[in-house]
Formats: sequence, C-alpha cells, structure tokens
Amino acid sequence: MPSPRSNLADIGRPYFEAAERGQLLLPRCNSCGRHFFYGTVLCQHCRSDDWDWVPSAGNGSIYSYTVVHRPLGSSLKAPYVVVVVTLEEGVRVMANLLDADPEAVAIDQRVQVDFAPDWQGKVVPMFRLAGGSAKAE
Amino acid sequence: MTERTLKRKAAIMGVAQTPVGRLPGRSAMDLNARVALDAVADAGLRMEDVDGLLVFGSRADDHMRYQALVAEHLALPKKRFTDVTKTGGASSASAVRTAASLIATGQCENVLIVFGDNIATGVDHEQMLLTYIEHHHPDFEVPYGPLIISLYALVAQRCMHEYGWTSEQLASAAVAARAFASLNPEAQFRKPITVEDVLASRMVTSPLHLFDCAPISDGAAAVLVGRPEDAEAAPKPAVHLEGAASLFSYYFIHDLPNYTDYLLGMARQSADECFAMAGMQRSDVDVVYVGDPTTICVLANLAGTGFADAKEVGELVASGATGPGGSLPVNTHGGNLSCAHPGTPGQLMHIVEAVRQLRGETGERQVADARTAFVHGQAGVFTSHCSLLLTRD
Repeated sequence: MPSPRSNLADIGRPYFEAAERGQLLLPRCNSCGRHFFYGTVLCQHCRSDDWDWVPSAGNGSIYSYTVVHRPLGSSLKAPYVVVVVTLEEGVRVMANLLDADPEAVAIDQRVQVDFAPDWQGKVVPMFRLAGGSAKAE
Repeated sequence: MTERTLKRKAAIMGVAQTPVGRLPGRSAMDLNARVALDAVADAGLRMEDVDGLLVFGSRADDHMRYQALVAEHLALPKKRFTDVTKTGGASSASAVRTAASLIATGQCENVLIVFGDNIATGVDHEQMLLTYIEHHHPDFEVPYGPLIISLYALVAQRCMHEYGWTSEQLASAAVAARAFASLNPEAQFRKPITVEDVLASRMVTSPLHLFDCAPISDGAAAVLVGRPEDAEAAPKPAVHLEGAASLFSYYFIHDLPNYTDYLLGMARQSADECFAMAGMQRSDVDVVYVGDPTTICVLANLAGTGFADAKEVGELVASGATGPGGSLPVNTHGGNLSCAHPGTPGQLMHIVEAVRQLRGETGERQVADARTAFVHGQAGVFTSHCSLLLTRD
C-alpha cells in the first residue's frame, strides 16, 4: 500500500532532500517575488506556476504551540511540543520544538531551525529556542 | 431571474437519533439504516416517498459508494439524487442546505440525510488516532505528530494570548454542556461537573484537558427535509428553513493568515450571509447550536458567528449564560462535549436537537417557547462552516 506521502512526494522532494543536508528551503515565486508555504502547484499570492525552492536562514518566532501529553503510537513519546513558527520570510510552518522545557515554552519566543528525524524516521526541519522574544524587540 | 434564497423553500419534517455511547455489536450500517427508518416515520412518510439521499460514509467501515450501500440496506432502489458529503463536521448543516436547494428547485420532494458511525467500538483506538493523523498534511504536519485536537489547541493558545480567554472560561463551556446533558436522558455523559473538575482532568494537548474534549461515541442521526407545504400537513410541527449559507476555506491551518480575526471571520461570513437570507437578527434567536468537539470551539464559534465579541465571549460563557436557564442557551442536548461525538454524525445531532427544541419535545431541558434556532456546523479546525436558521411558526 503506498505511503500517504506519495501523492505529494514529487513537489516536496527538494524540501526533504535539503533537510537531509541540513538546509531549509521555502517556496518563493519568481513572478511576484513573495514566499509562501507549502509547495502548492500555484503561488498562493499570484497563482504563477513559476516558483522555486530557495534557502532560508530558518529564523523565526513561535506563533502558537501545544504540548502534547499523549504518546502517538510507540514512536513519539510524550510530552512533545508542536509549534507553529512565523519565519522571517513571513510564512508559517509547523514543527516540533526540540529539547525545550515544555513548561517554559511561550508565544513570541525566538527559534532557529534544526534538523532531526521525525517519529517515522525521516529527517525534517525542526526548531530550537534561540533566546529572546520577538515581542520585546 | 435567479432568486438567491432558500428562505422558506424547504422544511424539516422528520428527525431521529439512535442511542449513543458504546454500542458493541451495532455496525455503522445498522445504525444508519435504523435511524433512517425512524426519521422517515417521524416525518409521517413511507420509505418509498424518499427521492433524495445524502450520507457521510463511515470512519469505521467506509466504502466509496456508501450512498448506494445505505440505499440498498434501506431497500430504496430509486432516487433522483444521492451523494456523499465530506465536509467534516460542517457536512450536517451543509447536507440540509443541499437538500433544501434540491427541494427549492423542484428536483426532489423528500431528501433523507443519514449519518452514523461506530468509532467507539468499531475501530481500534490507537489505529484510529493514526488514521486521523493521516488526514493532516502528510509532509508538513504529520511528521510533527499533532493530534486532531492539537490543531484546536494551537488555535486556543493563540486566542488566549490575544483575546485573554482563560482555561477557566474554556472549562465553563464543558460545564454548561454537561449541565444540559444531565437533563438529557439520551446523553452519553450526564454526571454534572465543575470548572475545577475540568482543570483537574489530565492535560491532553495544552491548553486542552481531557474534559475540554468530546468523547468518542457510536451513534447515528437522520433528518428528513421536505417541501414546506408537506411539512405543514405532516404529523409533527413544521420546522422551516429561514436561511442557509456556507464558507469553505483550506484544510491545513498552518497556512492561515492568523488564528484570530481571519479565522473567526470565516465563521462570520457564513453566519452573516445566513442571517441576511433569513432577514433576521441575532437577537431573534432562542437557541444556538455550534460544533463543539473541544471547548475552544464553543468560544470561537460563538464569537465567530457574531453572538459575542471575541474579547467578551470568555466572560459570557463563564457567566453561565450558555447553560440551562441562561440568556443564550447553547447546545441544549449537551453537544459533542457531553451528549455524543461519533465523528461527523455528531453535528447532525445538533440539528436533531434544534428541531426537537422548536417542536417543544425536549422535556426538562426545554427552552420555554423556543421559536428560532441557529445552527453552525464547523469542521477542519475552523476552515469549513455552514450556518442554518430554523423556525417554528
């Protein structure tokens, strides 16, 4: 039975290949110059199909988060932190926050991308606290 | 030439609901078929009068031609319209809207909506969690393991941050739901709870505790939508459709511009168009039904649909106004939170209860002289909405 990933694998392949090398890529439109996320067939801003995966420094801040206290199957141990990060490029991505004290996570905390295996063993972008708050600046 | 309204073009003639909770040995199809029989009888019709059939399918035992299977089990070989509706919790209100559109244009006379499932006993719980998670984005969400309710938790966390909603206020929505459920002999959970009980229940996905979340249930509901003139002649009081409108957005919420005014604005557009079609105001409404798989949904949907300001809705719910005897009774059967949550069929039970309230059939929990009900179906973490206004003359 095909993996549920397979439908979207072609469009997302550069993103995951870059993650294996420790690089975050984001879709950026060559027509309107804006970033969007995730890699949809058409640009979310101008519907051009002329866009590329371009490197991102992976700096952002926590837009929202939840600490999940229930293990998922046998491979994702609780508690784990799911964050939605606003990147400097203006797009939002979901990830896990690595090695953070779940009690100390807060909205607006600055984060930096890192790369680690997900619960299914695939290397994907993750985030770590970078120190400081986007709100304070 | 096109009159863009469904106002009084269709009416709900029959409703039915099965027992809810854990129903071992009842298959999803058995639940679907038996509740359909009851709704048709409630409408004073025979099965062969049904010429339209809308189903949702089954999480426990789905089939790509589920509508044909349901028809077969109902011995209903000929319909003028049939389909499967897949807009999650918004499917229920949306199916009523579709049925009304078919009736308003003369394409059907009696449309039966049947949703049932047995996800409490028909599916292994761990397997269901994994099945549900595969409905998130496989590349950009699933790797991070959010539960379905984690996505609601992400919205809750941001709304609490910006609007000042508190865990106590969220808990109050569960308390109100349970207070209504305690008056409903059919509800799955009936023992009254307090805000302290909710906050003391284990944290599942912060800020949502176990009692902030709906249970998982078996159960089914059915609604028969027909012509207004037929409803007037039917055995039960006619419940007229005054307005119906929808707003469908995307699915993956990490893409949304924000989790506050943009998110609430989607519900607002659906509700505003519904009220405009009806020519009615929020102040005309006696009972409100909103999809409530988690407590955050009660606050967000009440604010989103314009029944409270986003900054004040927490205080409104905490005041008890949405519970029994309150000024704005919400989910008078106990909602998904306490009555039942068999997945998608859960919000069809909101419509069944709205109709029963308008008919005056709800016993101890009856809201005195309820004449107007607002139903807001919501799904996909606030990205699919459908609003209905129902009245009894």
